Amino acid sequence: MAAEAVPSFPDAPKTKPAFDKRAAALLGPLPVGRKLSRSTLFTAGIALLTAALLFVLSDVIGAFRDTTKALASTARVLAQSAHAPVLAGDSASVAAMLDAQLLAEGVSAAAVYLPDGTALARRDKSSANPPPEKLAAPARSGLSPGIRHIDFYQPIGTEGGRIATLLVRGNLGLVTSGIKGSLITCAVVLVAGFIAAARFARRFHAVVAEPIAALARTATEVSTERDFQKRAVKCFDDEIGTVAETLNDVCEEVEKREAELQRTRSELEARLEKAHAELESSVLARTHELEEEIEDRKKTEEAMKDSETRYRNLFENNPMPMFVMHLETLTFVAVNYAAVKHYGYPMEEFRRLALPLITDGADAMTVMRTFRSNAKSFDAGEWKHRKKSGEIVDMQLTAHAIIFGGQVAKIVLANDVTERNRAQRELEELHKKLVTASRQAGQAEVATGVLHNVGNVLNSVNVSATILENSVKGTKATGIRKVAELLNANRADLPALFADGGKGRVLPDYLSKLADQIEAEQTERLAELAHLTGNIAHIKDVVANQQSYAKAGGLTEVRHPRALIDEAARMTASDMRGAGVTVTVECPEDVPDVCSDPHKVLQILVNLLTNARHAVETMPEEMRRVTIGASYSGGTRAAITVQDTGCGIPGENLTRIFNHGFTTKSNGHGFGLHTAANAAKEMHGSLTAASEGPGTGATFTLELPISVPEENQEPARCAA
Amino acid sequence: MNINRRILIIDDNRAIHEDFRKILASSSQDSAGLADMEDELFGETTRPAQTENFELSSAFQGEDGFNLAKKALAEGNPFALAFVDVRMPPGWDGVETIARIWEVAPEMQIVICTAYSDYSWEQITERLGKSDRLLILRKPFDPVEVQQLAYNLTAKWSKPQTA
Repeated sequence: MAAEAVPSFPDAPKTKPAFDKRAAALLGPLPVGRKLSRSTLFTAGIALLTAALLFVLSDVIGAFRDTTKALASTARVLAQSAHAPVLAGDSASVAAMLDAQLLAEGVSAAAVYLPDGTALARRDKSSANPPPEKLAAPARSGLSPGIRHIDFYQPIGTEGGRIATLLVRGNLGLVTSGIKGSLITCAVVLVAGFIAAARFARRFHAVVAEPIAALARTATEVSTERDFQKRAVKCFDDEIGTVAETLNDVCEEVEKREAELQRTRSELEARLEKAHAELESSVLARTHELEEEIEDRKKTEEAMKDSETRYRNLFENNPMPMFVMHLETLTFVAVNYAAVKHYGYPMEEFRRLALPLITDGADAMTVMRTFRSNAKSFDAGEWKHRKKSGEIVDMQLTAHAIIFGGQVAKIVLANDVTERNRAQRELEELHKKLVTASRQAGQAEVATGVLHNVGNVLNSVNVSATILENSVKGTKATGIRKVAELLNANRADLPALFADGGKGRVLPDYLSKLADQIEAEQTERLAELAHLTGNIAHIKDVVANQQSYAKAGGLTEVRHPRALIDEAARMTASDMRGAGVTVTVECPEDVPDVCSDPHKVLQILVNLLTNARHAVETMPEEMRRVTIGASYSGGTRAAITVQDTGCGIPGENLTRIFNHGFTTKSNGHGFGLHTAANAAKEMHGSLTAASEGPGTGATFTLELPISVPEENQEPARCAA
Repeated sequence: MNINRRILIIDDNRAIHEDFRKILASSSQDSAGLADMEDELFGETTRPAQTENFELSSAFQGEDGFNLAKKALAEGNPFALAFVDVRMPPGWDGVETIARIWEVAPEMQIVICTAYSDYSWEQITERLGKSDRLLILRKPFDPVEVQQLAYNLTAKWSKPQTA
């Protein structure tokens, strides 16, 4: 997978420059720095060494010359002075002279040899290096340098008449010490030179070798770590700098290429992966499809195998009556056992029949129209069918189009719903009865209320009627007829009637009294009639209220609280008047309309007013006050309050009064407030009681949701 | 025969009190003079039977009625008869009131009035015991019936007293 990270440069020249082989062997493998220092030291060493050698050499030559010169002069002086003694053969004086010469520095031995070569006198300083006993070649003169010493031969006598030969042997101590001194000097100079060279070499090293080493390090890092982000440092604008730059350029290029390569590679990888995943999923999907196809094919094959038998079974042995009809004629092509059993026609007879023939209550055309429908499957609805026995049954038919015997036909599923329909009718009947019964029960309840309200008034009516009747029966008006009869009877002699002693005398008085009496009767009757009319109007009110009260409730209506309050007050007015209770209505007009079932609200308010009446009845007459009012203080509900100045409610009973069956009345049921609170809840309102205790009166508050006016809706709709 | 015509009416409805007054305490408007003149003018006249004037007292609650009855008894001027309503909230109901009254005045004749049957006869007798001093009057009542009851029962009360 790994592509070549480092690009190769095949066209790069690989020629090696020619090197000195020895130098290459000596310095070749060393690092540049050491190479540089060594070459510096080497060069410096050669130069210094050459200089030192030359110096020492000239020094040695100088010293040697000085020594020989000194020996020669010593020898010449000695030869002159010894000329006489030698001639005399005075060896002792010659020896003394020789001894004197030995005192001089640099002369280690001296001897005088006769021409036959025998030594006239021999003297040396330390006998370590004595002069030879005999001279081999007496004719010799001049310098004869040896290894340890220098011999100088000087003839004694005149030219041609040599009488003796003088040997002066000088040691090389001076020369040696001179050389020693020069060598030491040379060594010191050499060491100093080396140190200086090394120091310089180090400096150069920093300047020359270090950039190269750094370059080399960078190059090494780049090549070993494959990190082309590394950059060489360019120190000077020289060849090394150029190399560093080039390296950097190369690195940059490589990096660029590598990044590109990397990108291309990751793109490729991603594409590859995606392609791979797609391939995989498509293979999976295809595999799944294939599996399903195979499964389906298997199922279809299996189904095909037994479908015919199964459908035949399904049809023939189906517990539901089924038949197959010819599409056009609607004749029965096939009928199952259930149909035969249900309809009672034997199989053969059935096959001769058609659907319209057994249908009752619908003409053939209707049946045809319905069942020739093109719909593949449809619910044909309920039909009345005639059985063999003549019984008419309700059949619910469902038809499906099928291929039967190579032809399009209709298979019909018939369901006998006669019983169900009967049951439904019975249920409806029962429901109706129930409704009637409950209505009657409701009526009975209403009637009880009416009876209670009307009963007392009716009593007054009855009394008034009786009084009127009695008044009319006992009227004195009959007196007029009697007067007329009297006058008629005395028509012949009217003056006699009015004569002294006649009955007529009292007639004027009687008539005037009668008139008074009749007038009084009239007044009395009118008063009684007014009372009667009032009472009858009252009954009418009560009945009218009861009727509206008894109206079917359950509908939410928008009403102003005032209307509800007034109605409730009217309904209880007679009782309130009867008990001497003053009812005050306080309902500002700005209280909003409320949403409620007016029937329920009236029920609640009448209940509350009745309770209030009972509560104040025990109080003195001037204290029997009930206030019913409405108020609204924001929010979604308005309140209707019924306040009384009556006996009040002990704190522990404030909530208990709403309990079912709780009552403080000896003959109460304990349903009233319970039902009222429930009704308030049903209307999304509430009913609460407040009292500061016995004797302080009580306030009942019925809260009802206010109606929310909605745009484009007339009239205002109920929020609840 | 001196008959005690004092009657106590106990009912929470004022209209009923009025009805009783009209039936039992209506003063005859007839002026005696007119009848005399008729005698003189026409010889025979049919004078209506003189209605007895009953003395009526009203109470609007059972307890008030009981107190009145007790007070009257203490003053030596007892009631002969009481008409008592059954429903008189919030205080004692009719049956309770009767029971209390009979505790202090057992001989008092009582007519119990009811608009509809709050109590059946069985329930009443269960509470009060079988008694020959109790009658039930259904509202709305016939004035004549009330008059008859008033006459007969006051007379009935007076008999054992005078006997």
